[in-house]
Amino acid sequence: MGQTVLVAEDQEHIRALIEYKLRNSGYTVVSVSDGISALEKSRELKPDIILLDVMMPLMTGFEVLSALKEDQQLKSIPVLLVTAQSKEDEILRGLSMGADDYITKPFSPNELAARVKTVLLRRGIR
Amino acid sequence: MPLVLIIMISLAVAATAFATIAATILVINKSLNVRRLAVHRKILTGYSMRAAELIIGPLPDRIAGVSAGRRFKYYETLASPTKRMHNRLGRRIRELHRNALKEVLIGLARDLTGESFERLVYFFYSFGFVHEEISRLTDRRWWIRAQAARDLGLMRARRSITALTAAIEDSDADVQMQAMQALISIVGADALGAIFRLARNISPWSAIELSQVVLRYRDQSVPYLLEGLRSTDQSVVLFCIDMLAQIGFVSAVEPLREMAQAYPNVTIRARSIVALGELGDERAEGLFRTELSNPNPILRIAAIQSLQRVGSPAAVPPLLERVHSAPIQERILAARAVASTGDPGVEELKKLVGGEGRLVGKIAEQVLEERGISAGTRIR
Repeated sequence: MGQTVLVAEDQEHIRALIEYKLRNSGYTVVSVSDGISALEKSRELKPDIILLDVMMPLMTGFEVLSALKEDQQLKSIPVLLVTAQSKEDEILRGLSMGADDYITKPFSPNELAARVKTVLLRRGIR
Repeated sequence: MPLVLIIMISLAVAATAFATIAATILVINKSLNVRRLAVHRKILTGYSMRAAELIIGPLPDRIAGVSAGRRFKYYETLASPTKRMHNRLGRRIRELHRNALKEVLIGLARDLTGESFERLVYFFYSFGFVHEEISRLTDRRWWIRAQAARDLGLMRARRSITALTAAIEDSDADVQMQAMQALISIVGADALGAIFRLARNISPWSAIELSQVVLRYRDQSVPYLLEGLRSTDQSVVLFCIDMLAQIGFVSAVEPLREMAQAYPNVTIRARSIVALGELGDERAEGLFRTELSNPNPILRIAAIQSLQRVGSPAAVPPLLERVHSAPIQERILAARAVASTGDPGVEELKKLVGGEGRLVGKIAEQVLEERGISAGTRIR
């Protein structure tokens, strides 16, 4: 079985698309639609990587990221932020908070899958 | 039984019956809405999955890198099963399905690039959504027209350029704005030419939206802004003047100078003078000094403002003249402009403090104080 990717994205059609792409690329995908569920699922599953949309209901991507980095058991899980285009401050904030990489919307699904793969390789998760 | 009592009972029964019927209708209506929403949700979820397959299903090796025509043929094979399924549905249900598919695809259009986006655009045409939205641009309801314009922009539908260009002249401001935004999404800065040629009465809100677009394209938008100066609509001309001043492009100086000198409308002349001041080009200084003695106060004030911005010492004598003889508000502005020239102006203002004219002295003192300078000393 492939690595587990947790996808946290509130827009259903984008979530479905990311899920589809990553499944086709050989990953096991679990997806949630809000920040709180993202945190709960992270604790429950300890995924290999988390894809975190910055703008989400209940808890933003930054809040989830901050909570992940404070949790001893979860802080080593790599995080890839999905952020709106041209929001440089968001990107810098995410990276300074410990995100491993980011992808800006609009994005190419192929690029997204490549970035997930790269982050996992960089972290030695094969 | 007395008649009054009978009437009262009848009224009570009628009221109860009415309330019961109304409540029942509301409950039925609510449950129907909930059901409709649930169905809509279910269809949307189904199409989110279907769209994912359509948009990012892997491209066979024989198709990757071939001509667009062959790729489109392949995309059509992906779309065909969905089309066949739609054709088997009744008219109302088919509408529901098509709308759900359109909603999902448009939602994806905001967030995708690359080959996936090419497919998306193909599907907008292939499923007939582009054609449908172009027809909706002539709907009698403005909000339908505005939404159609917005959606066509998101679909990057080049085939809708003519219809969207016509929509710039729509009677509704929202439709106009959506059409402008859509054209910009489709053709980029080149859309500004048509926008400035056709737009009328740009609202403050539209001006804010458009200014963001212009600033995004900056130098690329300059030729269109210069063209916009020739518009017959005052709001377009004023917008173009302001944007040229903000962008600060050198080729704007000459046309703005011509407008400042000869344009028939005083507001536009004044705004051109201010814009030239913001551009800070020394070729315009002579014009500012000449306009200081214009009989029209709007033009004089614009010239003072521009001289203040430029801060040229050569302007000190004519400005001092205004400090001595102009209406009070203009005198203060002129004194500020004198101070902005630096040491030469400051020295002149110091001479005025405690001089012959009491009012002039007070104005000079106030302006020096504003700049943190006391009349007796140099900078504090």
